[in-house]
Amino acid sequence: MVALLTVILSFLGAAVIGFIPSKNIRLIRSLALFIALGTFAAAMECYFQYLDRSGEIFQQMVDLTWIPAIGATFKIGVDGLSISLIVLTGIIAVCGVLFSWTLEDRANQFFAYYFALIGGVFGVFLSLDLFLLFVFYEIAIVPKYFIIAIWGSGEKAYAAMKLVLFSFVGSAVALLGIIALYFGSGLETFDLIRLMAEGEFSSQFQLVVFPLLFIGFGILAGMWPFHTWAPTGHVAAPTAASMLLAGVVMKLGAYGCLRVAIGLLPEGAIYWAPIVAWIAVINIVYGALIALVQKDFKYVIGYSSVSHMGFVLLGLATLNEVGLMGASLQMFSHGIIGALLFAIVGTVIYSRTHTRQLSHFHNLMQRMPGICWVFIVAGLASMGLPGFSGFVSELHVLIGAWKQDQFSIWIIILTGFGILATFTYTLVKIHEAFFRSSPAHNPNEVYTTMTIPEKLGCGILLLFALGIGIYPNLLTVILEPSLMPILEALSTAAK
Amino acid sequence: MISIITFFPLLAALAIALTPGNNKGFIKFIALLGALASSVLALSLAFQFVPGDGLQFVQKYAWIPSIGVDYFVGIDGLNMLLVILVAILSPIFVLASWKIDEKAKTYFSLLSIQTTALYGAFTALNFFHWFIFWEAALVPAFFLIKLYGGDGRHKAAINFFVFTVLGSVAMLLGVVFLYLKTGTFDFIELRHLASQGLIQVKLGGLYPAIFFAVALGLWVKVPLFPLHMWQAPAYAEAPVPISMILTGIMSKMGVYGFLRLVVPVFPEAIREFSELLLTLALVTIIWGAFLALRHTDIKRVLAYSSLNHVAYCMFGLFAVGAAVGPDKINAPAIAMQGVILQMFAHGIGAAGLFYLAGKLEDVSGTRDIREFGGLGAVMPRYAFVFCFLVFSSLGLPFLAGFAAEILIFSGAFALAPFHTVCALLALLATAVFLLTIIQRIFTGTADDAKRTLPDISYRDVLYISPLLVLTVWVGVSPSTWLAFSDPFIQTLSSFFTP
Repeated sequence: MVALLTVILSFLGAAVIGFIPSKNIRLIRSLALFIALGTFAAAMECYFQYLDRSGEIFQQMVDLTWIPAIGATFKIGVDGLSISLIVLTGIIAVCGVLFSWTLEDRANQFFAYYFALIGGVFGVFLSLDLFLLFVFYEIAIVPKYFIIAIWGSGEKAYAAMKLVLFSFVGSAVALLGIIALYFGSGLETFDLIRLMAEGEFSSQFQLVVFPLLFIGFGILAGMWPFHTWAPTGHVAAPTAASMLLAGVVMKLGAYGCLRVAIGLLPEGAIYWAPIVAWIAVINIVYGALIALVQKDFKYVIGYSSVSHMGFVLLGLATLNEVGLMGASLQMFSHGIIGALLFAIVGTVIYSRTHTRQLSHFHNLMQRMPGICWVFIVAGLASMGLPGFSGFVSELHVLIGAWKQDQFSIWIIILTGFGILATFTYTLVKIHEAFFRSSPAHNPNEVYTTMTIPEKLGCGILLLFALGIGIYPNLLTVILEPSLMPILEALSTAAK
Repeated sequence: MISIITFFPLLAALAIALTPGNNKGFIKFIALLGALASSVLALSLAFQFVPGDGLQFVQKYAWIPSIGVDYFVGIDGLNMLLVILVAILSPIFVLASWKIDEKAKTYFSLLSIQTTALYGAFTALNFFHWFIFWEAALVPAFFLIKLYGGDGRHKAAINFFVFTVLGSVAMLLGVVFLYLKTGTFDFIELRHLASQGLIQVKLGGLYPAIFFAVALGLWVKVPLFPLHMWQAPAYAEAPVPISMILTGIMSKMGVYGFLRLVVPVFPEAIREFSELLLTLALVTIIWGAFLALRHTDIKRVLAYSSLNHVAYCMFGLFAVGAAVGPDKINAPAIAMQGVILQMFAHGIGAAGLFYLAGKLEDVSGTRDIREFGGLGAVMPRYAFVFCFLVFSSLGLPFLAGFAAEILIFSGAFALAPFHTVCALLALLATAVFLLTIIQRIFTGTADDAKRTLPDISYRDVLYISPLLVLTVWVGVSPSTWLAFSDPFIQTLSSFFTP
């Protein structure tokens, strides 16, 4: 029940805030923060309850009949994987509100869409019924469009349209796959747990349907060559939305790939894994190299997200314990760090400099040293500096990939190259952003130091990045039992 | 205990970060306090340390079980002396930075983080754990150079970083592969496996490739030819205390890595490639001396001198891989003892020399040694201290450098006579360039502008007096210091005796 609270709170919050007149800005803000904190608390409660009751794989179950004609039920529940992601969503929800503290333009509508999106995201992570999952997946798409189109910047109409079209295409392809599962299993059910336990799919079926599901969900995970919506969408979106998009929405796709595509079609996964691995490597290397040549600071972060999601995909493609663990850790890690980078670049720096062009930044290291240092620490975390969560998860992925004998050695070598490219663009962009002078642009403007909500938001996100980096057990302990069923399915399929 | 020593400076860094930036005196005080407290604790460990008793002061906890990572620290004969070195030098780094007032808060927090990383890198015994500190030592150094360095600082910093990271990634990939084949990241465990010859069996045909991948990361850090290009610009552009850290301790991290991760784990590879490795060390010795002779920027000269001296360490280390006859059973142990002592002696001496070079730049405003001359008469105290440290690194009997080099050469001669003769000839080149510095700076007559330069103050001498005392102590009674590592080295060298 506690888990369901996250969804209910979000949608209820969206409805209530939507009806508050927009001039009551303080009420809207505090209510938004309160709701976000509520969802976070509910997610944490799931986490602690999961630690206490380690026997059951799925907990907090709610099972209601919904559309009996097609066998769709309202069935939700959480395992370690979903808990790690709803906790992530809760954190980002809170920080997103903190970084939207100064937003005043139609704040009521903004937060209404914001919580509708969050509610949809929670719903996807909780659903144990594919039909329900799909419904939430679609619900999450709509608010994104309005948030970007109304509160965005730059080519916002184009970006919003592109993002929505990609999302719809992805979900349409995934829907095809889901319907195929519905009929292919012979059970005529959307119930994930039943499909996993009883569903028997022929090898032929798996080979054909796996790509549908994986590509359908993969589009949202930023999989090459369908990643192009991500940088444009992230850049055009207002900060809180970029944080959600990069931090959580991309994980929706990866979660679908793992839970639905790999979990239900292990034989298909085994067949397609080497190709997925190659695509993942392209994501890693290509994303990093494109980030290296970007001139707009936010685009740098956008492409770095594409590169980091490559590690998630590579981890998924390994299909072994360490690799899947790495993918799950990386989902969490990138969620935190990606959101932090977007927050700093999109709000903390932009609200002071009013430009994101790297060539317009003038001596920022002297003029806003504190903010620069926060970004540098976040950048190092994203680069995979040991001690932060990125290193732990990428190391898991790397070990997993190496353990997978079917991968060509080039996958490892190119991943190594991708890591180097990541180091390079991080350092080069830090230099370009903070250490260069460009006296043509506001050389004398005095920048204020960070405000309290900004400090809080950065602090929370950094704390989680560091916490998981130093003590990954916090997550691995709940992830391990949840990955077991998937690994068992894979090992049966291998025989 | 080790964890407290390691993390105390980090706490100091946190305290500094929370102090208002204009409170400079307090910031410096906290930084010094952090360094001193750790030093006192570390030195007290040295008194409790029992040579020959294996690993001591161990703390080991499961950390990330899914990939076999433990939190694992301990001290044995190999790292005791290096922990002492960090303990002695780290307060001196803070004192040497006392004049830094601009952005003091950032500077001293970075410096304190650096100190934590140095302790950590010398005491961690699980690759993952160790690698965190290995990289953590790099980051503050990078920013300290980038923010506080000389004119070419941006380029020097990025070169330094890129070279080191390239090596680190190769090393990481190598060790991850080693983990996949052996199932452990534990240095001690790996050594046991290697002593049973299992590493070679498990790695099969990839053994040499993995050896080179692991060695590459350390190779850059030491550095050795041909991966030394980052070194001189970084040492020259870094602020003086950071040059002291780079040469005094960080170059030793590379040598230590070889002794911890390469020599015990890949003994067969050291043996197989000893010709090549020895030649590269020899080339580094000669090339370093040659470059030191050619350059006139005093910090660059000292950087190349460092290149040259640390290469002696690597020379002694690689010599143990050369063929050993039954009559030379002690030679590998002697050479390796020399290596350890040379690390210590050079750490002290080189840090002292960079400190003095910084003082000279402070008073005269230039680092070009052609502009000096006759300073022996103008600054007698300075001249004495400087020459004292130069003579130690030149290998004058009863000073630290001599004791170390004589061990390296007498051990190496029995193992690889031809290369050792070449290295001895190169020692002449070392002597030539060191004497050239002295001659250029201190003899002759000073021009008018330089005639009024103030001599070094007693306080400045006091700051580095521990280094001077140690130089003599190590030189006169090397056995006091060698006792720490002796039993450990005996075991290690048994890998190389028939």
